[in-house]
Amino acid sequence: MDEITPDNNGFSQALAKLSQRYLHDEKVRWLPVRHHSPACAHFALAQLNAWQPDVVLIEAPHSFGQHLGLLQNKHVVPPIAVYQQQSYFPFAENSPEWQALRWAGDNHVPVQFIDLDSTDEQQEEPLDRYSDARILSSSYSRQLQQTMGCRDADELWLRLFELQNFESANDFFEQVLLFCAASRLYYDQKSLQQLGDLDREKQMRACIRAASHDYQRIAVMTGGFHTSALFDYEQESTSIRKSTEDSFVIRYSDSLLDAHQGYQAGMPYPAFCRWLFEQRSLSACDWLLYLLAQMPKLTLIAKQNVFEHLSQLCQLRGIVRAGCYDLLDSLGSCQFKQQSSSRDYRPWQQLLRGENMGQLPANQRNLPLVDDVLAHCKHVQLTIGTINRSHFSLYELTERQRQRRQLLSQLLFLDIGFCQYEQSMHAFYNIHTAAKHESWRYHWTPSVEVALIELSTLGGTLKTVVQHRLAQQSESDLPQMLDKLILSLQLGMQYQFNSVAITREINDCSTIKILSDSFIKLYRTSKHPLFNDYHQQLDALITPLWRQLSFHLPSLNQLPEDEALQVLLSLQAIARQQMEVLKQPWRERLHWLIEHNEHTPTLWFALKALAVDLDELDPASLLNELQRYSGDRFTILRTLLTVVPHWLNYQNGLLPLLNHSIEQLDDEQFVEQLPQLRGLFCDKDAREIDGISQQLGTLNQWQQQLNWLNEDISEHDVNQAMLLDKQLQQQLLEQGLSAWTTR
Amino acid sequence: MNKQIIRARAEQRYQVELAQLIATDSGARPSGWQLSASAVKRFICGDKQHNISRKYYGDDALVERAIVSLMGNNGLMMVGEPGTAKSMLSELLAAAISGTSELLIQGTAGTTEEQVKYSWNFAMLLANGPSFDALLKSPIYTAMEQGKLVRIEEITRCPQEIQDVLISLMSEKTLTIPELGIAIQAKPGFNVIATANLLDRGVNEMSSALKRRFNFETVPVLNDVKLEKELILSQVNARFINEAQQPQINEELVQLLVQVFHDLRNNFGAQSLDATLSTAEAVNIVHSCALHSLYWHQPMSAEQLVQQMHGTLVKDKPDDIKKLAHYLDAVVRERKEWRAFFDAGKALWMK
Repeated sequence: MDEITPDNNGFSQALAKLSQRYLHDEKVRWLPVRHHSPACAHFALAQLNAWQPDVVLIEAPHSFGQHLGLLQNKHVVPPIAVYQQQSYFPFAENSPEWQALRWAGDNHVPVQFIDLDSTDEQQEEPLDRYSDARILSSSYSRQLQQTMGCRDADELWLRLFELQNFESANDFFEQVLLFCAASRLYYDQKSLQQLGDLDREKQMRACIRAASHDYQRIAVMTGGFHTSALFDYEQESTSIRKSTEDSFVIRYSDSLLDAHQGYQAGMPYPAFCRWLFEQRSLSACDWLLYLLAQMPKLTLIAKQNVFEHLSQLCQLRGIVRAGCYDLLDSLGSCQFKQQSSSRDYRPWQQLLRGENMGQLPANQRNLPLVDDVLAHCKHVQLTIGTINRSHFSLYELTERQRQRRQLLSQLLFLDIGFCQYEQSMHAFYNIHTAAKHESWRYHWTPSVEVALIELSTLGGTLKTVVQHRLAQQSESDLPQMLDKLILSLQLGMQYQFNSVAITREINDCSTIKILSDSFIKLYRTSKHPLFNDYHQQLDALITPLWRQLSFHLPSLNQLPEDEALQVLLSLQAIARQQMEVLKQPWRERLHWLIEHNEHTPTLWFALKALAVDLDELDPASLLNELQRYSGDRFTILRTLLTVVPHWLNYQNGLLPLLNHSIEQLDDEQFVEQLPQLRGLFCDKDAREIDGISQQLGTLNQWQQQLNWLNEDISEHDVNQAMLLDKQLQQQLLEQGLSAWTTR
Repeated sequence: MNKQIIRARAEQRYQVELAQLIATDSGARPSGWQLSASAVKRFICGDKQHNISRKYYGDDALVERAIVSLMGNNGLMMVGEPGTAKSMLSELLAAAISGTSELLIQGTAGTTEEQVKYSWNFAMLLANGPSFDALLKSPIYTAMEQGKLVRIEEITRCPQEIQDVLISLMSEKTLTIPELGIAIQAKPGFNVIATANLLDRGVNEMSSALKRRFNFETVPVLNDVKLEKELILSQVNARFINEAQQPQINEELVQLLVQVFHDLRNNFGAQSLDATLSTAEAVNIVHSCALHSLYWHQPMSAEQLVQQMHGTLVKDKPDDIKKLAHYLDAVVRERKEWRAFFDAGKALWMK
């Protein structure tokens, strides 16, 4: 077949030959299908009832035989999927494979799965085994789409097979076979080999051959793309490859089944496909009424309009019953009273997509780890199913809420896609002391179950898996150790951290930046209500950390000035908060630093200012000293404005000094300083600026006071001003004048 | 007598195809229609098997929806960016369904109720009083009387009170002439195809009562480069069909122009240039280049293309030139095979 090209006569001859062979086999009835096709499911049932086979062979991995009992259990409700090695094998109510399985179960007919297991294929990437993309994206399909004016391959399929009547199941499957075989003729052997189709077909032929020895009447259901390659099963000499690879039956959802949501082997709009299968006996007219009844918020007159439009549209398109594309077309034409875009169709599309989730009998699930997690969720009252939110008031957590947050943290840490912070992941490690409330979003989906199954190799319970994952967290330096500590506490694994090792690491650390950052982080964590129960453990680390930090404070000079100032400011703030415990040691360190260390003038003044401020002394003597300073006074003034900004409001504080310094500048020097001066004052609000301007007016004896608080300013003026400011900032940035911006 | 005209109406241009379709159409024809719905679709979307040319290069589904809408009680309102072939589609629909596309009202700020309904020959009115002889029928009047489609172009350009005249006409399908004490009842086949331009949205917003009497179809800009090129070539060739000489159209340049339009639409959004970058504008550009080539005996060139683009696309927004210059600088410069286009554009837009 591979030497035939679609443009020569061989193309039609090959199809004619296939057509003859289709019903030629006395032992085998071929059921070529598109996976999840409602029409294929309907005619498969008709064919099975008519043929009454002794065995049903289905294209699915051989090892799935282990799930046959569960798949034929009456309490199982699709959509479900068998998961194996990063591949899903979904079943919907309208999947022909599902209907064949159930038919076989009801009629006590054995079922065999005849495909290779995922692991038997040497593929680097997991394959979408049920992919019908090769049929739908073939040149043959594209040409037909063009000829019939269809928008995509799915619309073509619907028009050809789903929305038509056929004389018989034989007639239907022959048409499907020819369509798929024609698409296959556009692929050469090499590409089929690369896609893994040829190896799989060998296995399928071998299975059919084996079954032909054991049974007289065989039904073979495979993807239509493969069927024509299976006719010569009697000549197959390879043996059947059997695998015992593990696989799991999981619940699946409509959204995961949707071709428009990325499932390549899916049909578009799973709920619509289900209706199409279930309501196939309805007349065209009743089917339209049924469809319209599924669309909410349509008035009677609107339904009437859509009904008329849709009936005529179907007639024009030559289809017996309306499809999802036709329905959306008519709804759009009749309901939109303005320009429309694809977004406007979304509510209807969502209805056609559906929100069903499969169901498995609770006592037969037996999914490793999944059951344990579900039990935990039940215990802390997390709702499983739809998207949910959980809010926590961090200062008033009840025991149940604490457990719930802990569970959510554990599942977030495992990264299984179940839940997420409304804030970012970093909140895990950098606890915001200011945050009083927290909000989480969570959603139990089939992919969560799959992720848990994959994780079950690490342990059978959630606790062991989290422990395992936590043990893998790196802890090669102090910041990593502290991150792990904070994480462990949030996950309820406080026993996981080794305080001796952390203390040793603290004692070994001599980098001022790491020590100060670690101290600040640990201090903040210890003050957070989430960690109320761990004060003792955390304090046991804070004390040596403070000691080590104090010891290494002299190396502050090694840091860039900005960073050094930030460290000093943070430590001063902490010391102020912990007056009883830290004020005295901090004061001593400050004085020691001032007296014993060589500092840059900027840092020296900053240290002095902090010391004066800590003891709430008069800054006059320090400012006098600054006035006498002959170096770059502006840099120091800027530093002081950063570390002790409230000195600006003192009568003999920073402002007179700044004013005096500015007076001494010539124009050129003033322009040079202006951007940084502007930056210093930009974060002040209008009232502060007004106060400063009044002080300046008094100092300079200006006749006309600057009025910064113009009460006539309207909201519109403010908005305009903000807009202008935004434009100004943008332009400054574009012109490379970032020093002038306030951000 | 072979009368020469600048532009033939659709039913004149495709007379042979229409006659062929009428002769062979075996489908059920809606009352008042000269063709079945399926034949109307084949007339517009083409039918290779029966040698019917494709005339509209957009979605077939849109054409089908439009045809079905016209079979119902509501009128058809086509909205979309300027130059997306709304008018052409309405003309084709009218020609195929009613056999004539000449029943047309062009909406303007000065459109009056008389133009929509009827007016009088005042000399006769004064001489003999109101009578049928003195009555001047509007296109809508004629369409109702004969059971045909009437087209209203740019309906949102009309003042709202004039638009609202249509409400009773479309719901009652009756036109009352109080002066004569009679009412004209529309015959089967009567319906209204209106078009509205998105750029005029808000100029005279339609009332919701009138909107309810229309099925809306949004006509999109073509997004298929290959299809758009095909459309431009066929449209330009059609304009030269009666010329003694045929120009040599450089297909590579047409391809380049289509690509430029797609780039500009995608990079800047449809409304960033004052021009809408519609296929109709592209047709005009290629047509002008072809005329230049034909009458100046020069092959079509990138330089000519750029000059025609400048004339067509750059309106009164100085920023448009900056945007085109930016496009040249950021995109075209990298495409070595577009060197001639880049040089010509640089001379005009990057001065």
